[in-house]
Amino acid sequence: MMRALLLIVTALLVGCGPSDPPAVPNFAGTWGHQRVFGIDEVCGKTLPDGSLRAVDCPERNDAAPAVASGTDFPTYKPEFIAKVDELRTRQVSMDTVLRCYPPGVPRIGPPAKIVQNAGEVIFLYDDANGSFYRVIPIDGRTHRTGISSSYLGDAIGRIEGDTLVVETVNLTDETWLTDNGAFHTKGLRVVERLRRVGDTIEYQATAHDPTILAEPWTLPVRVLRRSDRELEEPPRCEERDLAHMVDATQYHDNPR
Amino acid sequence: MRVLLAIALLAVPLSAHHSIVGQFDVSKKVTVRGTIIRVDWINPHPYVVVESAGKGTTRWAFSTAPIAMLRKVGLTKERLAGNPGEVVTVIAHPALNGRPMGWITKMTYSDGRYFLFSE
Repeated sequence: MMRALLLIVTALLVGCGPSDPPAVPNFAGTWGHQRVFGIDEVCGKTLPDGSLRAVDCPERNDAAPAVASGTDFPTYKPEFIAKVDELRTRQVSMDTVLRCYPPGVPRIGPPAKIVQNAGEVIFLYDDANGSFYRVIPIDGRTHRTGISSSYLGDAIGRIEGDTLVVETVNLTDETWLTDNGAFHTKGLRVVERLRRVGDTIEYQATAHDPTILAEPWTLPVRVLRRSDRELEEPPRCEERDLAHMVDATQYHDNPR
Repeated sequence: MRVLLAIALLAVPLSAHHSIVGQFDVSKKVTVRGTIIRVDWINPHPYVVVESAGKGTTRWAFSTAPIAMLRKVGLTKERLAGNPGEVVTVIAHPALNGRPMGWITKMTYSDGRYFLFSE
């Protein structure tokens, strides 16, 4: 009798009957990532008198991401290389992200904050070009139809084990995949994979645009770490620099 | 281009975005002493407008890193602006086009405090 009771209590406590669905990993939180505008994060050191010095952030000894890293630039089909070269040469006048337009996907990079409930995941961004958000259903819905293309497109997600997979389509072709003339078409499909590893997220995006790309472009892995800094609203974006560019053909580097 | 930019980043660790090397001479520095007229707390680069004293006055527009980076270092608009009418000494990389503009490397306030963005 006592043994049977013990078994029942144990089963109730463990609560893992054969029909229970697998646990959904939790991606919610505020996440920092090392690179801002393509350079390593800089930390501040306040001196006793209130002075402030910009210093290199302490090095972290993280394990290497489990997935293979990607490349910095997509590979275009031969017939589109000349167009990329031309856009690269004229990028300061052609790249809309320099004029405070939304950067698009995947250029916007990983989210700064993730809100998650049973049916959806919400990505929040504190980008220099504005406060952006993406609502990503994870309840099995398919892509919406009958809506206009947009900078951040239409996203749906699914959980695969420890990974959130986000697929985005219906993106405008006004944005670039990255700097240096990396244009794309409205047929772009972006798959982002966010894998929970300990107290980090490994974030990696792959751009599929088979009309112009020789192969899907997988970007380098970004490791996101929990941050205790809550988001702050970015100030408005107002471009004032370009008018003072002396050499506007070469000097542009704004990877995200 | 990336090599040139990498060199610039070594010299200007708080620099970023697109315009630094094409807009400022990172091999030179100017020193300007004057009064902070206003701080334009905008992205992608905030501006500190400083009116210099001397033979006639000149309004300088000093630019610096994007707001997100300044926040991570610990700078706010209020800390950058200092007290009303704050007199500062700004060391900056001058604009390539000769206009009174610069990329801040160090700002020293009237009480001796300073913000050092690069050596």
